[in-house]
Amino acid sequence: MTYFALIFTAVFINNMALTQFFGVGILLFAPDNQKQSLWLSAALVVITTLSAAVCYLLDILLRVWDVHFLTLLIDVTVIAIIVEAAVFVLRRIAKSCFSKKQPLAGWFVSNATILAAVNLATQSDYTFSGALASAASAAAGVLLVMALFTAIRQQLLLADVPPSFRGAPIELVTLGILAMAFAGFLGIS
Amino acid sequence: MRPLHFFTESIIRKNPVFVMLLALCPAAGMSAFLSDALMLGGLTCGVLLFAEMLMALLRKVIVPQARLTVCLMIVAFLVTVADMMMQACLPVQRERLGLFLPLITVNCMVLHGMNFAARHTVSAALWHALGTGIGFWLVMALVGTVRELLGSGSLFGYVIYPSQFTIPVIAGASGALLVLGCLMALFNHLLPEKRTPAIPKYVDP
Repeated sequence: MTYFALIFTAVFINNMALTQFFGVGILLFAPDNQKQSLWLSAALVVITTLSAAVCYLLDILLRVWDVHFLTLLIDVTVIAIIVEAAVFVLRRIAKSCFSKKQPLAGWFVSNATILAAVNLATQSDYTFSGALASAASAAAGVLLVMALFTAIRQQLLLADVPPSFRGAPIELVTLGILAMAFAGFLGIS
Repeated sequence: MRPLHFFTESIIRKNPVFVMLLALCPAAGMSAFLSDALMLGGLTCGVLLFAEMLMALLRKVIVPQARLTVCLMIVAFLVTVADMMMQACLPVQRERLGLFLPLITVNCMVLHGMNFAARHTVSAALWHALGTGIGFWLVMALVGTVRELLGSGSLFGYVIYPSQFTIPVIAGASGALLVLGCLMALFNHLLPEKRTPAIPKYVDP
């Protein structure tokens, strides 16, 4: 039950993209193509979970050695290495989906979701499995919003939007309305 | 191109938030109160300035394959320094910034600046960082003013009008995105010729 509460909270109530904004930047940079965005967000879940696992273990070491101020530096380096490795694997698995020139590492790294999820997982007194569950479900929340947003975006292409709202502004307003819907989940907690 | 050109260009014509769509996460998340928004904007500006300077100095030493990792480590180092200074001098404000301070490290705007610095001279990088930082700071000031005034009816914590006339949604999560979207549309409407087409393009240093 506690795990259910933890996962539900991370996916719906404290959604990384819509209630905490850590994933907002990347949503606008996400590819229009539904298949690509699903691959990317699935990879995001894997990367976040792996980074949380490694950083959680390293965090114990840092506490033992009393060099806790190095957390950020270590976390960021771990994330960068895991992202590079994951992009390498992703290009192999989904060969037909991504073109060679398409930059992927930057998309993952400039994405505050991973660092935020890792930070929350390691600093919040979770057990190891709890930290993993919270990181994975935080990224899964972004996956959910990304799937919704890519679908809405395709409808937006057909809509007759005023010229100054075309592009990013209407997408932000759309996200704002989605965020209102997610704010409804606050009642459950 | 003259280095000063990068400064003027990145304030309005290539504004980091309204045109380049970078750094939306702090612009949306930390703008409910004007003082927090200005503090985070100033810190990001400072980190960006030093990061671009270091990157431009080291650009011939770093091999392209390791650029992403090295550039993240440089920024993480600077953010750690900023964090420790904040904890020592302004602990109350540091608490209010919360997770958004460490997240300057993975700010798209900073990474974009590093990408620029890796290809330009030190003086060009410095002017670019200063322009981008000021552009971002101005946006934070604007969004912070609108949200605090409409959402909480105050400015810098001083009450301007009573709270029953405020719009609480604006201070909340969805209001941030709505305000940002509407301000971006206003920017496009006022300066249509300045607008570069908003093609989402993510950076890969």
